[in-house]
Amino acid sequence: MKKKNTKEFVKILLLSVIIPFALVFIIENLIKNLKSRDNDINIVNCTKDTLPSVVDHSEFEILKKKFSNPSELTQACISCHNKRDEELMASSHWTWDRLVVRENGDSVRIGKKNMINNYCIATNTNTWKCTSCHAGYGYKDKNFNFKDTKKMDCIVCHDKTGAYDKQPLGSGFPVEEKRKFGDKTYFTPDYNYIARNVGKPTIRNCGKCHFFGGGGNNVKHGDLSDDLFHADKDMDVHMDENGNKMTCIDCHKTNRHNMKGKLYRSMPINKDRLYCYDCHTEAPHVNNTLNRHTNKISCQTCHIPVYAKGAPTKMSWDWSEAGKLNKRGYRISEYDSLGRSTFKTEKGAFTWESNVKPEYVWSNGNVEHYIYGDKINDTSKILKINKIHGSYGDSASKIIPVKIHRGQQIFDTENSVLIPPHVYGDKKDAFKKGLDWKLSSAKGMKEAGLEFSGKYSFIKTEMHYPINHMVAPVEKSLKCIDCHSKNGRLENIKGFYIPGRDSNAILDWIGILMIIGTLGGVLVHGLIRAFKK
Amino acid sequence: MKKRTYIYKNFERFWHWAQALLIIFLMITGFEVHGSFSLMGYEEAVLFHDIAAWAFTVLILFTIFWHFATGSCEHYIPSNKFVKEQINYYIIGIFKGAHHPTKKTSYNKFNPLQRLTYFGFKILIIPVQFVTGFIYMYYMYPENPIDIKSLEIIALIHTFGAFLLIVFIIAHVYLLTTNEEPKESFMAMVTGWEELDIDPEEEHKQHMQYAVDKSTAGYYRLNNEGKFIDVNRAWLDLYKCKDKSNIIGKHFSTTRKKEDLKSLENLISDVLKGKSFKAIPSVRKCFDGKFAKHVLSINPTYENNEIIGCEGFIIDNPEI
Repeated sequence: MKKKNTKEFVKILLLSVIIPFALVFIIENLIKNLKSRDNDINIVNCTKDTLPSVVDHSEFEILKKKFSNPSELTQACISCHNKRDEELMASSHWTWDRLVVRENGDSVRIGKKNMINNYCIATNTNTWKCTSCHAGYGYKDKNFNFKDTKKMDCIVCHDKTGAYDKQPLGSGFPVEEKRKFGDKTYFTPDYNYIARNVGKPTIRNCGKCHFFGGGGNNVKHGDLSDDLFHADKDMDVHMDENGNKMTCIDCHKTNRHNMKGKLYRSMPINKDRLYCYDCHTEAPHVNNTLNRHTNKISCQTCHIPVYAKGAPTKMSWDWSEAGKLNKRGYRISEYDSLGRSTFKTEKGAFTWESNVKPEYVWSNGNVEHYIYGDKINDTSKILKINKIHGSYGDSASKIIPVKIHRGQQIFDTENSVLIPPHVYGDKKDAFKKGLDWKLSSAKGMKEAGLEFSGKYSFIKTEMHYPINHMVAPVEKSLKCIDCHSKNGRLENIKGFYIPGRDSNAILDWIGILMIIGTLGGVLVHGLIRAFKK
Repeated sequence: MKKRTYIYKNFERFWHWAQALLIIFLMITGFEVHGSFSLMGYEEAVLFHDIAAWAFTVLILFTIFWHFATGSCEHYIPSNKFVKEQINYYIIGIFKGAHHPTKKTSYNKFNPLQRLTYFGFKILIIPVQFVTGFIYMYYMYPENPIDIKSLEIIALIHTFGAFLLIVFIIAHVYLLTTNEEPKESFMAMVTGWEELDIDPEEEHKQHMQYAVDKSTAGYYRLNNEGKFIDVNRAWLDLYKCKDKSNIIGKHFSTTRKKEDLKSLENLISDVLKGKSFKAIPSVRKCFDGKFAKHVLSINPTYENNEIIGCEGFIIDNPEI
């Protein structure tokens, strides 16, 4: 009998223990095999343009003549590339605005000319300084003639020599003679040399402006810095110099000077967007559970775990402290141990961060903006200068990573509107020069066509910058536990259930009590039995 | 009276242990997904939970089929008989050394509380876990076609089911110790065999059939017309009859010498009037035409107090 028992036992053991576990082991190995196909990334519609340069620009007579200013070069370009100027004329690199229908039904052209931010606040009277990044020459105030194609700057995007620079304070013109701004010396461009070496834009062409938004490297976006000129794999898998070697326009594909992938912060409607799945398909993972996540989670959420991986980005700007002088009446400039500016009398207080974990919001691609004259409903609350629309209940919405730039900026307490102050200038009414909010506000408000009550205060504001660049290699992307845990990345996005993050405390307690109750009951029952025996 | 009984069939035992392991595995991975602890990593926990869920689904579907196909489902049909007694036993009787109010037999494996609990387990907990589990797996973002706003309600039901399963396992394992021989009962789920109390009456009935079937004495039964209704294996052997169908329905005269028929008819008519006889020497005519000797017993058979025929045994005896 004993022998038979043992035999049966072994049989049962085999059947119910070893077989299921063997199966799990086999399946696990299968999955591991599948997972090891890391390099088999399925890419669609992504072809690098490998066409050779069609013509040799150095042989054109017209490009051999002497150019005394950049506008002459532009005319030479257009003389062959006719109609291209009309394309640029319609593009936002030139217009700096777009026609949109606002929430209240108004059709308005919105852009830098009437939007407000919480960095340098507004172009308005300061346009001549901001337009060093305009694809044109001479845009110094609102009287600029947007129909004059001679004012277009072709080479800022098409120069392949790297020898072309627009000067910081020249309304988009390069210097006419050698000049120094801060640490950097600007030379008069050799237009003939540049004209002979033109082509498709490189990272350098785009980055020259886009990496320096806000007046310095990576100040504004956080995910666009000069680190991308020479990125490695960890910095950005796509732009990796030694790997994929992709440039901006490989994704931001351009058709007749109309670029795909508009900046979320300033593109109010969900149009001309650029998506990861355009190339990576909608089911890029081996694991189907991950693929189903793409329904509600944007690719960027997991694949850009941190931004500002190199140069720091500005995280806050408090204008309310601007104007402070030291005891002796001099202007203050303070820096932190890493040499980052933390206070300047003419600007206020800043904070900087690098390797920043993004914050997360719902987005359906639509954004609402504050423009000149919009009334602030509640000045005691934080004002969102750009509001990204979206919610869990909206089927078009996904969770996206954002940089939130927090500021305190001036507003008119009587009229409840943000003030676009006059900041840069040589006269006393420029805040930088006179440190007088009343004068600079009055000038700014007048220029913007707004009424200024003379009373002002400071309001807390937020700007949301969706994070789309600095994509991490797969091994550095977020892991499940980063969100599926208490105090994880999505801790602040409430209103729906995330396994691992959420639980019902009452239910959990009921469950624990049930288990303790049963264990206790069993223990008591058993003890009584033991003693009664 | 005790008897070693085959109580759990191969498939039942395989199902029981596979299910136990799967539930424990699902519990470990499931509570990791719930965020209760961190063991194998979240991604792996989800993956294994899904795989185990599929394995469990296959097991359950096959088990349902098996239960209906073999009729074993009748063990799980709840009955209200002895429920009170069983509860009283666990609350009071067990401490006084009382006996179990119900007996475990191969045709009634579970006590009424077990029936109720296992029925609830099969009808309520498992299907609810199955349905919520698959919604959880494939309806992550519940919008279309039915908007259930959030996974929350599904997740909470699934979690509650998991708690119930833990409670079930604790109670299940503890109640094993309330058996008279816990170790034996446990081994029964391993080997299938268990020493069980047997109802003497039932045991007797079962064995009598066995006794007649396997006896070396030939058994026969006739109706009141003298035609064969039934014979046993030994009878066929004694008569060198190859197949039962060759004899059923035939008159007894085909099995005898012509000379003996007269006395035999008298004997049977006496029996049909109510008499019994033991050890009558006779000569039989075998199916191969040869003759052999045996003694026979004969007695009447009754139905509703009326004699409907007769039966008896024959014992081969060449000596007479």
